[in-house]
Amino acid sequence: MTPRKYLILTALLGASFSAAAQVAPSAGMLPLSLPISKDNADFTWLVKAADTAAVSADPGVSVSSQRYWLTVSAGELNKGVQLPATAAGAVIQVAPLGRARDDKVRFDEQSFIINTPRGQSLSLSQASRAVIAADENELVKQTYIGRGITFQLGDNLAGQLHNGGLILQLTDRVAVDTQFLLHVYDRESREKLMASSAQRQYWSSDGFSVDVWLQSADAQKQGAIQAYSDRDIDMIATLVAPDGHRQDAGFYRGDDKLTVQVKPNTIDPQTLRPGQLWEIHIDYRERRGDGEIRRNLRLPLAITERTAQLDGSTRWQDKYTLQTGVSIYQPGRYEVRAHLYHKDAEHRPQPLAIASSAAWLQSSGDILLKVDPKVLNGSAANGPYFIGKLELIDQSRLGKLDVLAETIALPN
Amino acid sequence: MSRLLGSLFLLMICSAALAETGVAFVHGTGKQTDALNDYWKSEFVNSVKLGLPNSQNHTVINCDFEQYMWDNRAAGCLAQQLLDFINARGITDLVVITHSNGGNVMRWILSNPTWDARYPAIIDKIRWVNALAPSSLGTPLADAVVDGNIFEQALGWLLGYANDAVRMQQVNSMAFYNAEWLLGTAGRPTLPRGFWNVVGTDVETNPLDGDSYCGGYDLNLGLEITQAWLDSCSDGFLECSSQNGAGQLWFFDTSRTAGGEPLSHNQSRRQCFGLDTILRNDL
Repeated sequence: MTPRKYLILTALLGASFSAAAQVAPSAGMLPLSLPISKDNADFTWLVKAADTAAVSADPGVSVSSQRYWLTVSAGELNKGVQLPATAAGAVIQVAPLGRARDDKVRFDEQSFIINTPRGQSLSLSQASRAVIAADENELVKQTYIGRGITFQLGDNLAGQLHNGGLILQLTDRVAVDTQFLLHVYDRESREKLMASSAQRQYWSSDGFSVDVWLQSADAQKQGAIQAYSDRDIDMIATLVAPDGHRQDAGFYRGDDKLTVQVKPNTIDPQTLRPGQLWEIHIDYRERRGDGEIRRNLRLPLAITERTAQLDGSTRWQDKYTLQTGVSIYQPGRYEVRAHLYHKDAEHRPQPLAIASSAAWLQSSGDILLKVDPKVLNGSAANGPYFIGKLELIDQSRLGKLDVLAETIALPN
Repeated sequence: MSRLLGSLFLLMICSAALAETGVAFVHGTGKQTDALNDYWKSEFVNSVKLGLPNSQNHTVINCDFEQYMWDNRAAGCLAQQLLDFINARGITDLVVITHSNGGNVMRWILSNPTWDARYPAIIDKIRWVNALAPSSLGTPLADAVVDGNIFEQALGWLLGYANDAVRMQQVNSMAFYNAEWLLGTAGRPTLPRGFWNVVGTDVETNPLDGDSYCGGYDLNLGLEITQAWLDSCSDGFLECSSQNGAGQLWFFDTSRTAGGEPLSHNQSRRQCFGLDTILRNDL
């Protein structure tokens, strides 16, 4: 039987099995790049420190952004494109997109001017701390970061940035429909777009929310933070699958944040890719006075299926082998990982070792967790030892499935 | 100190058991078929392997590290080549030298020792990993490549196309993978073997300074350009915090290199400023 046929078979078996299961995930064919080995494996190693929180609870995810990006045409650039940046030092890049990158579009310091609200028209060298043109050397010509032109706004413009009034204007003759990516990294800005989610990983059937807010150091300092319902904001929130599939996500305004909502059962399990992350994309624009603050942000999340769970039963088969019951909803390679502790002289639990065992399970059954006594004996710690946490991991689809946070003492 | 203790312990073990020491060179992002010449350069490898009792006991890995680290073309390929090397040469004491994203692939194996039945036999033989400029916390440059859906040739030899490895090395993606799937970062359990970081802190591109030409002036110039996206402490591709984000610091470049020269991301895989000698003496 070829590996591919085998995978299809196991997927079909998984489908029929899951129909009777308590949780009924869809039948996903295991990608060939993931482990299909049926050989058991066991490994124990000593640890010097362990973060119990990282195992027992998902602390969520928070990200921030001082960047934004947009696609602009040469025609738009010829007319002038507003360049919202809030601080000197912003790194700005104009890079050719699509076929333009092969069309030998080359910029230099003379290709652009920057028009200021005070009516100045500055060359890039006058307006920038540094300008990096693409054609300085062969390597840079070939690279994205070096392609097009990159410059860093100069300190002389600091007083004219607060209203976002700078206009970037292309003076070179380029076909008007040529497309470019304008990427701005407002790296010294005091305005950061923040986003957070309560968990890093969700089940595919879950609904979840992501909080979004603009952290404005100056406004905070002045105690002048307006409620989001009163602010002039345009925001687009999009849920993006690993395969690029996009769907709009709704949001509502609170006093101190915007909350993006993804409703339950909106994820198509066929779009799941083991280990690959989903993203919430935020496109944020806030008008203030005559200017605006723009930010784009991408928050990664894992979305997985509950393909198995610990059934709660454990029994020592011998002094170092723990029989661990697992309910299986999809066949695959599963790992049980135990975090072993001992008690120090003050009787406080201290992390000692991790023991991991993996096996292929076609249906519900046991995984034999084998603790290597040689490793424990090689430590300076004396027993008694105990398991503080037991994790169940789907190695075939890269899912953290379950945690049993009960103390299980090793037999004397 | 712990490296020293480890060396003393190893010395005792070696004396007792006549360990067969070997070294493996693990490249960074990219699909390599001749990493010896295309990624490392033979003069670097040849110099490092002089530290072996038997200089035949070395291997240069060639795998597809444009994939996610767990992919069989990445970690699976690395595991097979390491295992073949261990078995063919009877290696009992293996030092692994990684560069850049190669550190992540190696850390995947160390963090998930039962994910593949081949892994335990490999880990058992590893003395430690010397991670040259590992991208443990990712790089903002990977984010810049992916921002705006730029799927095109990016950062040349550094990142190749905006492939899965590039997506993986985005800062927020690596934060996720470090928290869920990899060990050795702050607050996470320890890796089963030492993971020692060599951190590059700067890029020098003075056309009048011969040091700027080590490893290729054009490549170093490209790295100076990328520094606009990075912290002041960086090797032109990775911030120092990322390079030292997992495992333990071995040394910052300027503290050990000849003349206290910094190692750019290009130079930390080349025979520059005595790096090869430092690695040789560590075998």
